[in-house]
Amino acid sequence: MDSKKILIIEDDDIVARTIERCLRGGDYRVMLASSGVDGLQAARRDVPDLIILDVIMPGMDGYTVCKEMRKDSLLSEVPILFLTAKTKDDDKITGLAAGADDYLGKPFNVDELLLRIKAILRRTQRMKQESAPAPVSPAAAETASGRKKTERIICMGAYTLNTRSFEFHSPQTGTFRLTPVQYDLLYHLMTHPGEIFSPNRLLDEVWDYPSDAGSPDLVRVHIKNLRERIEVDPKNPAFIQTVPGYGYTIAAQEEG
Amino acid sequence: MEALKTPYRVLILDDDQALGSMLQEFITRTCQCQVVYVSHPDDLWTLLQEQTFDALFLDYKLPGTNGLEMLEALAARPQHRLMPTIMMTGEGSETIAARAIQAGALDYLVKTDLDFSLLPALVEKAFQRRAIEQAIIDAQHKVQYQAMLLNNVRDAIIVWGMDNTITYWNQAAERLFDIPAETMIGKPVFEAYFSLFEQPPRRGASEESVTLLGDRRFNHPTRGAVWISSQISRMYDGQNERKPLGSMDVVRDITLFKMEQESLARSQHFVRRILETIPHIIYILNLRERRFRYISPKAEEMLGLRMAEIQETLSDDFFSRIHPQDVEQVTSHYQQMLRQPPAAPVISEYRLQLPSGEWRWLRTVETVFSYNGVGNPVEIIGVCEDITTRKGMEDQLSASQLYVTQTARMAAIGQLASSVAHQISNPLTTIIADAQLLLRGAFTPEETEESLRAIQAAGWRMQEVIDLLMKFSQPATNAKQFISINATINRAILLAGSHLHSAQINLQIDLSEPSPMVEGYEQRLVDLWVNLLLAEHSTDEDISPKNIWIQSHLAEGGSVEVVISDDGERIPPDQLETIFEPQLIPRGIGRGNGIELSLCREIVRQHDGSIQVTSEAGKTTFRICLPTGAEGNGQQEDSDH
Repeated sequence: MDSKKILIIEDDDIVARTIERCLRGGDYRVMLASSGVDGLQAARRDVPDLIILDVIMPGMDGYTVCKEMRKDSLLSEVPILFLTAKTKDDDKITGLAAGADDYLGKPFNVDELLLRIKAILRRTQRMKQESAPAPVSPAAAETASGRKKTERIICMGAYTLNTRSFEFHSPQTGTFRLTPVQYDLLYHLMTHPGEIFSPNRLLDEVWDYPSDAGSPDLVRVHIKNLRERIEVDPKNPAFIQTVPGYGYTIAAQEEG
Repeated sequence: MEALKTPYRVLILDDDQALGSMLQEFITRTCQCQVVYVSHPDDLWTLLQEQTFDALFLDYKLPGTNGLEMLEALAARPQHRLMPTIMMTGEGSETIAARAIQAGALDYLVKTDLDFSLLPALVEKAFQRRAIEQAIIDAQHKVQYQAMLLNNVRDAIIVWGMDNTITYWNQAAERLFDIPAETMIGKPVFEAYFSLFEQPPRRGASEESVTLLGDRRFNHPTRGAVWISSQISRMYDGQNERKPLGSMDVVRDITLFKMEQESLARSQHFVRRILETIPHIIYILNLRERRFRYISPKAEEMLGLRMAEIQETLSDDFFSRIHPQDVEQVTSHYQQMLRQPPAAPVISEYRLQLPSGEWRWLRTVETVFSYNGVGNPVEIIGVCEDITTRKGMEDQLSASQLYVTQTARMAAIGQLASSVAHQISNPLTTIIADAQLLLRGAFTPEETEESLRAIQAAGWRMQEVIDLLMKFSQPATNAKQFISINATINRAILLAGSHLHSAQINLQIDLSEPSPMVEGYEQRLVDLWVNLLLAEHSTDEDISPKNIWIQSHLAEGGSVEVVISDDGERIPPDQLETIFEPQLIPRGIGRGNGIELSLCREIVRQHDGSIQVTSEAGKTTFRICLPTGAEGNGQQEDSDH
C-alpha cells in the first residue's frame, strides 16, 4: 500500500513541525502549508489523503478553507481533521457543518491524534474499496447494467441513499450530496434499520475509533448537522430518531 | 378796520392855490379829518407812493393833464383804485362830469357854483363809500382765506344741505376718493357719496344733532381697500344756532394706521402665541428689585405657580421654593451675574418645590435683558425648562452606563483571556506533544534535539505572552518623570531597528528639535513605540510596508504629537473599529499578535493621552497625542471611562 499523503495547514510553524514529528513513525508523507491559500493550492496540486487544518489563521480561516475544499470536486471527498484551540460547542458545529470529518482540540494527546488519523484513513480506504468494483467515471457508469445500478440505491420509504453518487434524497428537503462522514453515518444506519446505535457504538463502527478515542459529542454534532439537512423540523426529527437513554435509530419503513 | 381808528385823510389836487387852500381849511374844520393839498399832479404821484387817502378832490383842469386822465391812471393802480374821487370841473362841463362818473368818480363839483355847505355831506359820502369798499375787500379776503384753508386741510370735507344735496367737496376729498368736486356737487349725498362705502351710514344719520364717529372702508379704484375715519356733524346757521343748514363729514385716510394696527395686532398675537406655545417658561427677572417683570403662562401650566402672584410679590417666595441644596448655587449665580454681566447665556439647574409639594428639576438659560444708566445689569431674561424626566433618565443612564462599563471591562477581560489562551495553546501543543514523543524514546539523537529545541522555543514563546500580559496589567509603581520624547523614540528605534532592517523596511525619522518633553513613564513609552513600529511589520513581503515614518512635534494646546505611519496594506474599516481591542485572531496583515495594540492603548491611557488610527490605500497612520505636563497618573484607569 502506498504511504498516505497528509497535508498540514497551520500558520504556526512550531505546531506544524510538532505534528510533523508526531507523524514520523507512521507510513505518511507529510506536506506543510502555512496559510489557507497556500494549503488550497498545495492540496489541488497533489491531492492528499487527509488534511489537518488549523481553524484560527490569519487571512483565510480554517472554516473557509474547508468550505472551499468541499466545493472543489477534486477535494470534496478528502477527509479533514480540524485542529483548534477553541473548544466551544459552536465551534465544533461550525467546523463539522463546513464539511470536516472530525476535530481535535489543542493541545492534543499524540496517541489520540494518531488514532484519529488512522481511523479516518481506514474508513476512507473502506469506502474506496466498496465503490472500487463500480466504474469510477460517470461515462463508465452509463454503461453499467440497470440491475447493478438499482442495487446501489438504498431505499427507506421515501428516503433514498445513492451509494454511487453519495447523494441522499429526502422527500421534504430534496436531493443533496453528503460529505464522506455523513454518508458513512447514514449508510450504516440505513443498512441496519430498526437497530439502535449508541454514540459510542457509532464511533466504533462508523469512525472505527477505539473506545478511548473520539467523543460522543462528535456523533451528536454530526447527527445534528444531518438532521438540519434532511428534516423539515430538526427539533422533531422524522427520519433519524433519538431513543432517549439509548441512542439513534432509523425505523424500518413499511413498503409502499 | 384801521381806517376807523385813525382820522380820515383827504387829498386835494388843484392848480388854483387859493381855492385849494380854502377847501383844505374848510374840510379840515368841518369834517374833522386830515386834509393834504397839492397843486401839481407830480406832487400827487409822489405823495401816493408813500401814503393812502380816503378821499380825493381832483381838479379837472390840470397842468399837462386832466382829471379824467388822472382817474384812469389811478384806476390802474390797485392800491388807489378804491379811493373815492370827487371831480371838480368848471361851469357847464356836464359832459366831463358824466365821463368822470363813468370812469369811477364818486361825484363831481362845479367850481364856479361851489356851495361849501354841501361839502361835509359829500366828504361823509366819500368816507362811507370808502368804508364799504374796504369792508367788501376784507370780506372777500376772508372768504378767500377760508376757502384756501378748506382746500389746504388734509382731511376730506364733504358738506351737504338739508335736502341731502352735496354742496361742498374739497380738494382733499377729490384726492382721497379720486372724484372731482364738479362730479359730486349737486348730487344726492346717499346715492353719490355714502354708497361708496362697504357699510354706509344709515340714512337718518345726518338728521341727528350728535356727531357721528366711525371707521369705514371703501374700494379705491387704484389703491384698493382704503380705510377712513369719518366724523359727521350738523352745521348750523351762524345767526340762528337752532337752524340747521346741513351736515359736514370730515374724512381722514387711516389705511396706514389700520394696517399698522392690524399688523401690530397680528404681531402681538404672534408673540403671545410664541410665549404660550413654547414648551419652556420665559421670564424677565429684575435682579435688583428681586421681582419678576414677566413670566409666560407656561409657568402656571408647568409648575402650577400663579403668574399674577409671582409677578406682584417679591420673588422671595419663589426663591424660598428652591431646594436647600441648590439655593446657595442659585443665589451666587445671580450675584455673579450682577457683579459681572456674562458674555454668553448662563445655564443653571436646580430643584424647585411646587405648591403641590412635588419637587421639579429646572434648567434655566439666562442672559442680561436690560442695564441701568451706568451699564450694570438690572434685568435678566431667561428660558426655563422642566428637566425632571431627563434628570431621572440621566440617573438611570449613568447607572446603566456604569453597568455597561463594567460589562465592557468584563468582556475585555474575557477577550483578553481568549486571546491569551490562543497565544498559549500553540506552544503548549508543542510542549505536550513533543514531550510525549520524547518519552516514547523512538527519536534519533538529531530528532531528540530538534524536539527539545522546539519545547524550549515554545516555553520562551509562552514567557513572551506572559511578559506582555504583565505589562498590560502592571500598575504604575513609580512616579512620572519629565522625559524627552525623542529619547524614548530613539531607544525604541534602537530596539526595533534590526527587525525592520531585516524585513527591508525603510525607517524615516523626523523628530522636532529641541525634543518636546512629556511627563510620563520612560520604559512604557519605549514599549509603546516599539510595539507600534513592529505592529507595522508584516511577514508577507507583498503587503509589508516599504517605508515607515516616525515624527514628533509639539501640537496645538501644548501637547506632544507622535505620528507613526507606513505605506503597507490598508487596514479594512471593520478592523479599524476594533483594532485596539484584544484580538483572538492575529490580524493577518502584520498588525501585531492581537494584544500589542491593546497594550499601546493602555500605555497611552496611563499618560492621559489619545491614540487614533486612520488607514487608506498606501497610508496607515497612528497618531498619538500626549499631554506635556498633565498631572495624570497611571492608576486612573478605572475612572477613565
